[in-house]
Amino acid sequence: MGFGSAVRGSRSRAPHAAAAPDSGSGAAPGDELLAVRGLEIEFGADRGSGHQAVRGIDIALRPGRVVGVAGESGSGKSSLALAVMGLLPPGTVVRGSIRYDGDELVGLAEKQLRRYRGSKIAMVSQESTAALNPTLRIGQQMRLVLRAHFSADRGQLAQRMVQALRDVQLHDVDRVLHSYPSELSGGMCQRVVIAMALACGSQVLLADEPTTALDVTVQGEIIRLLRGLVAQRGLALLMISHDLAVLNEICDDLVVMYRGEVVERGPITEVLRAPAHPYTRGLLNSVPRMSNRGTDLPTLPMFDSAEAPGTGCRFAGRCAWRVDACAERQVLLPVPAGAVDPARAARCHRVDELTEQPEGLR
Amino acid sequence: MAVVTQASGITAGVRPGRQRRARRRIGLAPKIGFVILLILLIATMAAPLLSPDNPLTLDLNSRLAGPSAAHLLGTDLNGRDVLSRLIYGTRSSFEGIAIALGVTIVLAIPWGLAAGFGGRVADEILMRVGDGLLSFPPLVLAIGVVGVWGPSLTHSMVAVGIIFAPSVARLLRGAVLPLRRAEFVLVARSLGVGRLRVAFGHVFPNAMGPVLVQLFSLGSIALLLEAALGFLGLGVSAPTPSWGTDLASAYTYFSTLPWATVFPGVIITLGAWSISIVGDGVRDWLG
Amino acid sequence: MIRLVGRRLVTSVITILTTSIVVFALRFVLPGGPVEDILGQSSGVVTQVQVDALKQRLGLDRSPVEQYWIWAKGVLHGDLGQSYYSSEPVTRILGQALVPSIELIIGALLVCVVIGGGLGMFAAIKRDKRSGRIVLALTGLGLSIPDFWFATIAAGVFGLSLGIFPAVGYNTISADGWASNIYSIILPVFVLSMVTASFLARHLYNSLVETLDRPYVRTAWATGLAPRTVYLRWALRAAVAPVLTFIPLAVAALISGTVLVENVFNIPGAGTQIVQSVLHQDYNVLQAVVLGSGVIVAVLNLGTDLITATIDPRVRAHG
Repeated sequence: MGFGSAVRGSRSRAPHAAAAPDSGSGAAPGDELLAVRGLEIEFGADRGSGHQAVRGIDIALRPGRVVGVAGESGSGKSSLALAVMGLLPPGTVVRGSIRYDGDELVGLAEKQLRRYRGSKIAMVSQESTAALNPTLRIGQQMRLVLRAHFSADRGQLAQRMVQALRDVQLHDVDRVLHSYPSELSGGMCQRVVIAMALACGSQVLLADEPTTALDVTVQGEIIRLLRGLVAQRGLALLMISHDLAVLNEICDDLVVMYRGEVVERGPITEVLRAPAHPYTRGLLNSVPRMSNRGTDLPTLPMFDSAEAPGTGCRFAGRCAWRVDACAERQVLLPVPAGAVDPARAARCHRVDELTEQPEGLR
Repeated sequence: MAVVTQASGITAGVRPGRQRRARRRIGLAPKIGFVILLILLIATMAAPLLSPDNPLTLDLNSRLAGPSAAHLLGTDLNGRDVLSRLIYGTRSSFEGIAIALGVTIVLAIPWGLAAGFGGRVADEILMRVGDGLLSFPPLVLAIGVVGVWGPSLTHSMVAVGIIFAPSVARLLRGAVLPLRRAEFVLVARSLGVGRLRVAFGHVFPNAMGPVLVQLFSLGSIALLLEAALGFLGLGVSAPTPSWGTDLASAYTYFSTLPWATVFPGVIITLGAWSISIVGDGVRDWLG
Repeated sequence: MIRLVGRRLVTSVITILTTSIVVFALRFVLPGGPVEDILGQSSGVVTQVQVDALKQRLGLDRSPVEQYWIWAKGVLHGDLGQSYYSSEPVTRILGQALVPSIELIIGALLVCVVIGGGLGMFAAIKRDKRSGRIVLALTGLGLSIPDFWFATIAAGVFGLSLGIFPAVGYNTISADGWASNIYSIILPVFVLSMVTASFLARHLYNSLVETLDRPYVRTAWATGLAPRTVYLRWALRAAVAPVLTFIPLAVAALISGTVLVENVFNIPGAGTQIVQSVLHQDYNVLQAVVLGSGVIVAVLNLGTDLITATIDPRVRAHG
């Protein structure tokens, strides 16, 4: 979450160094609402000591579909969301292409980006209570947000606010509007945050760990709510989480990120049934289960962040499946077992073996 | 150390063993401040050796002279050497600070301890009295005391010390309150160590840091108050060199010699700044 | 909330009582006391009979507690006694002296809020830019320059040397009109506000920088609010609450400052009055000014605490 602290100086942000989208394929397939292609994020590039947080990421969001992004902290998954919003800290360089409904967002000026934020693309982040202004009533905050996008009179705005809160299944709407965030529960705050995000008609929602800070029953409610919104409104949802169980409940597709790269992608049922990358396997194996109660959970060895990311596989240092080729180069290979789906791929030389022994590590 | 977080089961060790919070580095400014403060303190001790001239010697033949080899910073209205007066002036300033902080410490220690260790009633009374004193703008109350006792360096700085006392007492009390229940105090008490021994042996080392930092910032304010009172003619008596009085007298002939006000002004600024910035350095060093 | 207000009211009353006792006690630390002074000035030889007679007339023969009681009752009825020096009622002297002082302090507060608030916001918004850092450094400088030195330089340069503004004096509204009045206080007000403006700027800078890093400010950016809305409507409100406690501190500093500034610019306010009263050993006037300053700060402290409680729901909920 380290980057979150640097959302600032929006107008003075260093230019998103706009590089041409990597191919002439220009027009995205018709139903892609948000298309991220070859996204690279480099922090502190202006100071010379650039740290590449994300490299070469492709993600496509479609209406009514949910894409999950899994990965541990530092994998770059939050930076991905911030890059789409154009909210990365000053001095960050973004390369590649982010298209909303065909419009290129990378390289747009702050003022133009603002037309997308909140009204086309919205973001919900982790700490629901901290995400609301503690010194303004919910109604005041929502009114400010609505007024940024609509010129309507007080009555119309009030109507919209009420509707937005009803849409997230808040019932005591009047009380909520007159409350300060500190007077609401964590779950209610998260609903308000979602309502505020969607109040201006965004069709793309980036949810960064939206349930992490909540307790389990409330988690379930929020997930059901998000699922309902996707189904009814045809929302395109990007769900970022470190929690595979949460992602499994809501996602259609899964993208697994490791140190700024996509290591595996595909329909979530397939990926979780037969993970084709050792890292995904590690993630999956370390989820506590009833069946392996009493035994120690396997852990992944820690990675050494000082180790320079060369041309080889970034996971090699922690990988039990490592071969010599891993140190030299990495490959993104289609997963043969799921070859019917061209989107199913893993960044590993030994994809074939891995898919042949789905329970290999267990 | 592989920590398995319950939700993900992923090792949380992203960063290799985060370093324990070391003491913060001390910046350049506190070091510069320390050097200045040291020079001023040396000037206090060794004024007769350092000053080129007697600060009280009148030389009516060279009044309001500009800087020259004989008088590096020129002379004042009475032909006295400005540099020598500034060097001797450190004595008024630091004597004033010493008096003020001495009074503060003598008052604040029993005050803070009594409030911290005493019962609720004692605490309430002592803190309200502190509030009462803290309500006064320091300069005004100091003038009030000087008005009654008569203008002098000692009087004014004793008054300043009294005004400072509640802020230090408050710090001590704040440091004592959590310690009152802390285990080691209970252990000491159960071993039959008296309250006062507990206070001096155990509470002080724990409360020392914030108090020290506070004393530096009060010292800086004391220097400014000494200069201000001198400036108003309510501090040291007439011929004794003092930065504040010298500034006031330099202002009287501003039209003739505008930059004469610069030297005492700069030295007051440097003095106050060096003390407070050294205090910042101490705060950073203590972490 | 009501309990909070009640508690605060009680402690403020106690604080004000303490200030009055402190002020009153000043009299008793004096070895001789005003009696000897008054008699000493009028004639050479003082007999014990004379002393006793005067003590009785002034009520000084009673016990300190009684004396305090009589004095406090008088103060509550607006009777602060007579000036030993001019024999005028202290209330009248103060009434005249307070006008320029209050004018200076309010003027300085306004300038301080505009300049200090503006600089603080600018430095916070531009904190990554050179311009922001320069402004921040300037406020640091403003804090460390003693106001009386700054006053002499301002009065000397703009008043004596350049003659743009008067270096001394005060034009009253009744005699000279508004314009002339304001013209005569521009320089002192500016000088007076410098320290507090720097102080406010740094305070607001710290608070705002901390606020701008909060998740809820990111929420504001993420919902597409314009920068002006984010800074002024969203962040400033949260950042101002901790800054409010600054007001009593600022007024206390301004009262101290106005003593010095009035003396440099020779403005007939409470600040010159208090210094005069020391030189004339005019204890009643001295006492009244000291008491007044303490009470003003105590009352302001109460006021800000209550305002903070109403603005900031966090305090309201947990206070």
